[in-house]
Amino acid sequence: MSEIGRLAIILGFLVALWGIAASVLGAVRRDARLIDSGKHAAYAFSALTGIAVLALLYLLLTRDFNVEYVASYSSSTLPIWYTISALWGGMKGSLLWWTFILAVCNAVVQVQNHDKNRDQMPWVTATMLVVGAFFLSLLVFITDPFERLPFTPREGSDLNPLLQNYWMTIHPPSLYVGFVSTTVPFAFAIAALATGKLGDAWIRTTRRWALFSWFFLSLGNLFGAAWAYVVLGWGGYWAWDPVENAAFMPWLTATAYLHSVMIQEKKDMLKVWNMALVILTFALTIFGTFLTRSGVISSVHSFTQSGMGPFFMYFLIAILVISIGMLVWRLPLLKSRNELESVFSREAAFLLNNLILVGIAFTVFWGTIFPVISEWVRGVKITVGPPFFNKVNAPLGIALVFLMGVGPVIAWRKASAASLWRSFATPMGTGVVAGALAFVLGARNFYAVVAISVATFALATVWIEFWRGMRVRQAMMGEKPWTALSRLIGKNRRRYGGYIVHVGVVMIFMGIVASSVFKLEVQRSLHVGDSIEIGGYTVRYDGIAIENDDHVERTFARVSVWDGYGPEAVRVGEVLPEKRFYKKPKQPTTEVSIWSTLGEDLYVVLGSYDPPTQLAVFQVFVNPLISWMWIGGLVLTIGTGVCMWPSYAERPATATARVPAGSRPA
Amino acid sequence: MSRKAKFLFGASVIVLAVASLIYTAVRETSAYFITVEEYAQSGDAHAGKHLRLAGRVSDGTVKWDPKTLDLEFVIAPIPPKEAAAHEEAGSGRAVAAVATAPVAGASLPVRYNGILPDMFAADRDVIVEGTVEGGVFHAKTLLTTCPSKYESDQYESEASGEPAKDDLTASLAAPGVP
Repeated sequence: MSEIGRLAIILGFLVALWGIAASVLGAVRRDARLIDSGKHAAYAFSALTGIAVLALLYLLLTRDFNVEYVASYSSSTLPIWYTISALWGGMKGSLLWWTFILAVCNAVVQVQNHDKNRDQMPWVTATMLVVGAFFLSLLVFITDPFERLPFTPREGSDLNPLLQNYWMTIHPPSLYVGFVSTTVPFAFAIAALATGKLGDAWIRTTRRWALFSWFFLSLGNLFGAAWAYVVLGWGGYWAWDPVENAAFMPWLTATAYLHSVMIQEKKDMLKVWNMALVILTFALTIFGTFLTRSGVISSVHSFTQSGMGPFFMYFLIAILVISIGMLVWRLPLLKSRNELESVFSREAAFLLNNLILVGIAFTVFWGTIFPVISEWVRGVKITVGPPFFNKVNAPLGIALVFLMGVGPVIAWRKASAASLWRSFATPMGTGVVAGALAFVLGARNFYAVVAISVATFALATVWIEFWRGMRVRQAMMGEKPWTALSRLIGKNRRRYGGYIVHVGVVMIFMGIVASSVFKLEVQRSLHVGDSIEIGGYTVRYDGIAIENDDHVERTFARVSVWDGYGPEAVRVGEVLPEKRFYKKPKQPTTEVSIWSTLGEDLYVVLGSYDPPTQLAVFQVFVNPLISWMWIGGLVLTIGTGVCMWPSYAERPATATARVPAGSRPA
Repeated sequence: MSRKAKFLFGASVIVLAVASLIYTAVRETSAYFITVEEYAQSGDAHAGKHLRLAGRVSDGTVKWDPKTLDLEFVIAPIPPKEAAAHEEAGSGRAVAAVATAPVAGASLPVRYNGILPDMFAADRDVIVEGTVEGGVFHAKTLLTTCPSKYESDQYESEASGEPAKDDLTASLAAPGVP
């Protein structure tokens, strides 16, 4: 089976090269047969990488430890679910997995466009295959996932215990889907530049893809945060580690693009800027892969250094040089037909939002590469940690949420003082009241009070939008409230879906603010029967239990959770923080246990345990509003679903879809 | 002022604001990332400054009191041979510097209060963050660097016997407990 896999990646690489050559030649010579051949190569590429993935999966599932990858990342006792996730648990497998997702995206694009975008498609095919060929070339020439060992180990050394977690089975795939799918808008951007057809066609074609990859980047980051929260056991979910930053930066630029693209559609402005954002987002995903695999910047999460760094670096430079070169070449065709008319306009608000998003991306980039830069410039390695990122991004994040409240309701072109007052008096007032309320209730942190105020303002504008829209429909069409609401959303999916996404993001924002500012923490060693009082809870250590099997030995602390202090406390439940010892890699890990409510999480860590005396060290956190982040993620998912759902207006010919909603007969 | 000039002015205000935020935050929060050797060579230059120090936990120096959560150990340079191996793997120049300029007797006592990381043990490589006061490194954070990172570096070959349980006992029954 390893031979089949190996053959598949070699053939896949050759087919990709053919596809690139055929597509480019076909486009230049306008030769339909060559273009078709390139298209077929794209399908063959997908099939071959699919075969390679299946071959590796087969080797993992049959536990063929003669294959180096299988021996390194699985063992005979690894549960089947984690054996499947071992596909992307190691570097070679993750590269193959990456290529596979790219190949699937490519096939989907081919099917979607089989009778559309005829001029652009060969360039799209070629661009996607260049990226695919690059990844496969690493597997063909540098690091072979199907490599066999000279001997067959009796046992595999197992998947890293930290990866043996349910979040880790879904976090990398969603992040990879998010990363890889940014290639599609990039490929269409390159095709638009190559053909000179720089109208709205490429934007309309890729809008949904951009939203798709933004969505998976959001989920990937959230799942990663959830993983860090339940697995790493330090009480938080985000440490501004280079690897986390690598996934966060393309999310920021993709978010910027999703907003600025509306300005291009409505006002025919920001064409160069949008092109640049698409290129930047794609380049950042490659930069992220480079960061995690090169060892240039030390990180807790990175894959082993592999000598692959330079290849990613060259590839990244090539991408930037070629795409920026093409952009400069086409600058004359990218002139905007409109200009910004007023600072108080939706255009300006969106522009500001873009500047802030890109500004955040830049600060994250700067902080991440700062050690490298300082070593070049001053000869000393200077690092910046989480305090740097928090300090810089707190004001920027607040400004962004404020704009989230402004953007959707401010008038296009130029907002008059009267319309500003009409739109913002109520939500602003609500925001100020919420901030004051937070202050009265005891919040004394400046940022927290401002953040609460701004978040309430943003929610209030969204609420008013829904409310007004619903009332108008009720009055005009005589509909019942729920019918009015659902039709309102149904007729303007992008707009109202976007608002729902905003609600999700504000919830995540509130979770982040509350859990960073109002977190409580206690560390103490306890004898059986002792307890810790923290944040209104009493946490009592009741004893130890041990479970043992071939794969892992687990030492649980039985800890009861009580609401309140002293004699009045009411027992509400039990948490079981544990120490694990994984037997194949001989590695201890800590498993936290969380008592989660809508308002806060009680997060209990078993730090260490001494068998003879049963003395155990506990670390207990109270993290407010953490569940809001996960619920916010769900709301965001629903909102994205509303945006992406094919709307009825788009199905018939585009001519009818172009008619403004208001002019349709009722 | 024309509209374009106004717009450029506004944009540059934002760019400057972001730049100044970065500048002040770097000044307030940055830490020198050096090795134990580099620290020893630099004399008192780093006293009182915010440091990230990379080194190895000296064998037999670990004292941990699970009652008070006080930890003391001596941090020493990572031996040149392994540092060279690290360098080969491309794990960073800070560590590689040790290989070229070994200094005998460069080590430093470290104090820390809190729970021990899972991978903390004698002879492990660690990064401590904090300040030096009176010849003692007061660590606010203690990070263990797992040499294999996400990758397991060896599989059980046929020669290897029973899996050693040292790590478990070491991590559960911390040193210093009677």
